[in-house]
Amino acid sequence: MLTASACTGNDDFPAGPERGTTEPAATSPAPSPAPSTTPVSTVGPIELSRADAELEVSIEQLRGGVDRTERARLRAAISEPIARWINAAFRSGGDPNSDLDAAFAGWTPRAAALAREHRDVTTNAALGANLSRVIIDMRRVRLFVFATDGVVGGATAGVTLRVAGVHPAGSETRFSVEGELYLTRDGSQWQIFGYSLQRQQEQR
Amino acid sequence: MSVALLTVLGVVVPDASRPPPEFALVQLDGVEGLDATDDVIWMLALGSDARPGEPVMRSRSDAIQLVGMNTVNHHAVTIGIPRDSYVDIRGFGRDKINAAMVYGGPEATAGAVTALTDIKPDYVFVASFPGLIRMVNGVGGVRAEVTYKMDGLNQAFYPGPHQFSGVEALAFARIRYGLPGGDFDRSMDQGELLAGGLATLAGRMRQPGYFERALGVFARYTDTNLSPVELYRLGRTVMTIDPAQVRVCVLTGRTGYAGGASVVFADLAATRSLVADVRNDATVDQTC
Repeated sequence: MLTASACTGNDDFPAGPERGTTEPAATSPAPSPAPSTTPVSTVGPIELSRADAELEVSIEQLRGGVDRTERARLRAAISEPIARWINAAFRSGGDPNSDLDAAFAGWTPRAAALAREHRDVTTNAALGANLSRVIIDMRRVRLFVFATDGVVGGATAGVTLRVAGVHPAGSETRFSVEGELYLTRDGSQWQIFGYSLQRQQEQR
Repeated sequence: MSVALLTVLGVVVPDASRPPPEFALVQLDGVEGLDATDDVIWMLALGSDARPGEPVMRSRSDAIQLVGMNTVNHHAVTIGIPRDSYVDIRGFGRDKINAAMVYGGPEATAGAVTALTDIKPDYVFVASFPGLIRMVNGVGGVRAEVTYKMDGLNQAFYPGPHQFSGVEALAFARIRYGLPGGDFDRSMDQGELLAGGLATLAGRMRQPGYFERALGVFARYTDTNLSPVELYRLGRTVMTIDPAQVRVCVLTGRTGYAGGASVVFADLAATRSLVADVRNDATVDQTC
């Protein structure tokens, strides 16, 4: 059992929140701005050359008889289509419309079709094509995994992205995408088959 | 059909590592499993009347709810089928529909429901008395509307919204006497409990990881021929339904007698009309 309080013999339906232990993220988090969705004012020169934040992935919950040694492999396998989506949809430049196939390659066909319709949220398409650069200031994924009798069936990924689009004149548009992705296995490959995402924009 | 049945019954072998099953979830033949392309899913939810020591899936089904879920517009409909409905049970002749599970398990009940409604369920879910109590208590109770004053099974309920504990929910689903519509009103109450349960779960889903924890407990107490992947997808699909868009319906009919037993003769014209409305989209456009 990998969570501290909810796995101590309680196998009844959970009526309340579980307080889980979080294993270290897969990568060291890069410095990121404080979470905020309210407009912020510019207090100094914009640092246009800052690097993208690393992808942080943690397994928050894994029950159902899965061996502890499987955690690292599971974390890598589940996060693979998520990382591909983030990179292609938000990181690969100012116009993701040119490469939506890559953005949704790790999604089931139906989910990919829906996500294309919602591209203003599921990609950085809303920023437009005229950006000089896109910087990802935070990309965090928290995994909640379902398994029974040692067999993994699916997972919810809580996702937090903070993205900055830099315009040629130097101004910067920031937005965040937060919510959940739903994933299952197709053999050993994990796929995103659903989502519930929200986008909020900041101006500076 | 027989393959699915054998699979499920084959799993009901005592397993020291698992508690006794309190639920069964059977995927019937004719579907390839749930995927994102299924716009409408039909599930037959059965409440088994099994007493301690009796087989859950070979006892009478005293709650029979055919539930349609539209994964596109997030509507759903519950169609209550009075347990005394006098129907054809393939291979066993005419009898009350609640006897079908005794004759041929959940699949016989599904067959009888299909013969009556012309809707073939994709899944059959069977809950025992302890299973229902566990489920309701586990989610912290279920809120549903009481229409009539009810008294029975050591419980009393009064008109208005009520927060049901597990034991209360079981009584609410079983009490018939005193209800002006008898079996029909009881079927309505069962549908209200289902709708209330969905609303409760939808509220709980805001807690990160709740879905996975609840599904894990459900799997532990359930015999099923669904793989963990299929179970996860089905659960996620059910949770796409908007509780505010669930319509509770009951098949109408008239009471009468058959072989000295009090039975319900379904209003076939009304049944056909309701089915024509909901079969393809699980969305009620007319009154029900």
